[in-house]
Amino acid sequence: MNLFPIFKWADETAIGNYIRDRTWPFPLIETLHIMALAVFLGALFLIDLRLMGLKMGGITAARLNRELNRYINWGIGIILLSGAMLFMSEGVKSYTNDAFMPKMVVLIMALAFHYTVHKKAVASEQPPSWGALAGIVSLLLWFTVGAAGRAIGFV
Amino acid sequence: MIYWVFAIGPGRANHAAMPSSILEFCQWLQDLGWTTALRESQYMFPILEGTHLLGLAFILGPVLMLDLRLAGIAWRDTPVSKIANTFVPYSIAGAILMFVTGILLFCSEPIRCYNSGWFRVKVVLLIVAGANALYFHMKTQSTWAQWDNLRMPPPQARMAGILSMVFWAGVVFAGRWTAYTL
Repeated sequence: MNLFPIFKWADETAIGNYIRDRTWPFPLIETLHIMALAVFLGALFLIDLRLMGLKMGGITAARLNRELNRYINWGIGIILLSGAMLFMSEGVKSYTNDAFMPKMVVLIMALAFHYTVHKKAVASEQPPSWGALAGIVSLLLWFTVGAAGRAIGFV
Repeated sequence: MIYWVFAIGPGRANHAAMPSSILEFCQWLQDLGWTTALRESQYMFPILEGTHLLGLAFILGPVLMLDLRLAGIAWRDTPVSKIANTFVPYSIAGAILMFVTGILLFCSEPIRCYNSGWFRVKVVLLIVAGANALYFHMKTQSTWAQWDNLRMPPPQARMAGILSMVFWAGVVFAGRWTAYTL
């Protein structure tokens, strides 16, 4: 399957052109991307560590999730939106970047995992027997997304 | 310190500016064998920078918990002391990770950091954020017992939480722009 037309289309959107043709939008959007990462991953990694068995003063993973869910969802929303804009500004460049497709694949896996298995793991006060595993998998998936994302700038 | 920040101005490199002992120190550091190796390494630098970036979550996640509680935005049903005792140790672990990777990143490019206005802004904001936390710890926290259970802490505590979030956002911003302008 040839995905290049999608990359080319993104590259030619008005948003893509706008960002590419100016100095400030790209770094500003990327900074927002990173701030959203700090908030969403910061909140999520606490939940994952709790699932993995760290005590955290007896505050349950479900309680953490109730308190932090909105920050995680907002963070994911902002990070996806800003990420899409960054992608549009270098659509064709992304196509030839060795780290881009791996990031997208792991990102889809991480999102799917987060809104299904992970959601179930933090649903009740009594975590399931596989709760710790869900925490580890979640952490690994998201950090792989982050590492692959950073690699886009290096490869 | 203000002069030191704006003498060059964010984003502009000026190699002729202010020869000083700090500059000489940076030059000495830059020329060391291991810092040169770090600068020229294919994998160490990206790994360090990636760790420094993802480490943001480790330091700011727990910091945010206390800040949001102090600001009266989240965790309102939980005593402030409980939130602080639960999460601050994690932020200290995160801070150590960020400090170690940050120092090593600085060692890899001391002269460029010295000439970067954004790097100076970042250092100042880090000091300000630290001072804010210290002030809260030394002064505001002494009256803790009176408002530990309040859903909305007193103005002074709320201010400490809000300022902390603003300063840390500034640190992240200046940090990213340091990398852009190096």
